Amino acid sequence: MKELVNQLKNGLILKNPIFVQLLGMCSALAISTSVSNAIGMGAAVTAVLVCSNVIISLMRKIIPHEIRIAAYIVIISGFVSAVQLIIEAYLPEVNKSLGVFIPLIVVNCIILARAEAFASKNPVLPSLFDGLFMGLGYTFALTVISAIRELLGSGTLLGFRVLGEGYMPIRIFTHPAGAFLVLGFITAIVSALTSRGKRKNTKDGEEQNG
Amino acid sequence: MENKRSVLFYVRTALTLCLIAGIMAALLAGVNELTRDRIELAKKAERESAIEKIFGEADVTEIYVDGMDEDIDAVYEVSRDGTTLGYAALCTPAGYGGKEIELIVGLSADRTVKKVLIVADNQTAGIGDKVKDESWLSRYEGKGAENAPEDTIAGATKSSSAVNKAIKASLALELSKKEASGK
Repeated sequence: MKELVNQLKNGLILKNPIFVQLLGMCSALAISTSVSNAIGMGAAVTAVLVCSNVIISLMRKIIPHEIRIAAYIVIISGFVSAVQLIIEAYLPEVNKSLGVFIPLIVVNCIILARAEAFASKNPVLPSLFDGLFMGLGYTFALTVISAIRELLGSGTLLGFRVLGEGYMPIRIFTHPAGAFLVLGFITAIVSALTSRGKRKNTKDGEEQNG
Repeated sequence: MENKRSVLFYVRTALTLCLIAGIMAALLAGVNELTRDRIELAKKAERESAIEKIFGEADVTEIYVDGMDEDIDAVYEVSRDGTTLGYAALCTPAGYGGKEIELIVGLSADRTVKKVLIVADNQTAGIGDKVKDESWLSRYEGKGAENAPEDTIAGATKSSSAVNKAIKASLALELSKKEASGK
């Protein structure tokens, strides 16, 4: 049970794939223009991550070391294609707004990294939870980034107008530059919080700059 | 001898990879079988709802037209209570950088443009996506093959001329020679 809580903490904050491991940046920056996109993408990545982690963990003893990367990619791309077909069939709207970023999950390094670093060395159940929590961490990070971008960039959240009519949207937040800005600030805050106390001396300087 | 790998090793490695690929292929085939009909339905529903935005509630049937321009993917006959209201052409001309614009051109029964609807522009946000501008699209309405506007949008020449091209191709359709596709 303690192990499970640790895995959850790692996935969401301490080893968050986006904020701490800085994996899967491309999709995170490109897709985080609206909260609904972020949730859709997060769910798709989580599904693929859980399935591929389970299968890779199940087959970890029969996959020869020499061809493990090829084997992982075949398994991951199979699940990505399956997830895409399911999204296309049941959630055509999500498929339209995410577009090419669903097939690109194949090359999302979070999934390959978890296969290589965790699922290939651990039993099925921990691998399943690792996939789930890392996926949730990715979804959480994407949701935070996209909420800030959508709020500042268009004054809405999940498509509903939150800030009054008088609000002048800061358009840069809907563009890639805004994604980099938001991600940079959040990464700085997370790293400041997780390493607090370790570097007391430099802290004042950081605050002035930030 | 340790360094030299036996033939058996290579055979085993290749067979393992084949096995994995086989399992994933079987899984995909299964998922494809389960979702194929739904995907077809979803696509059809999306097109029909776009066509109904132009004509109002109507019966939409795909028809086959001879010598269609390559930019036109499908032509639909739109009718209500047995009378033909007009036609709708689903066009996918290549816009900026070869990215396809998906649009539906609604044609009245008298072969003039009723309304143009951009389904997906896929163009650069803030530049090429100006083709979605209502006032620009509405210039086509009521125009036929002989007087369809051909002016482009400054700064979005590629994207807007792609739309012009699709409209021209739709108006050139030989709708009198149509045959029921039997689908």
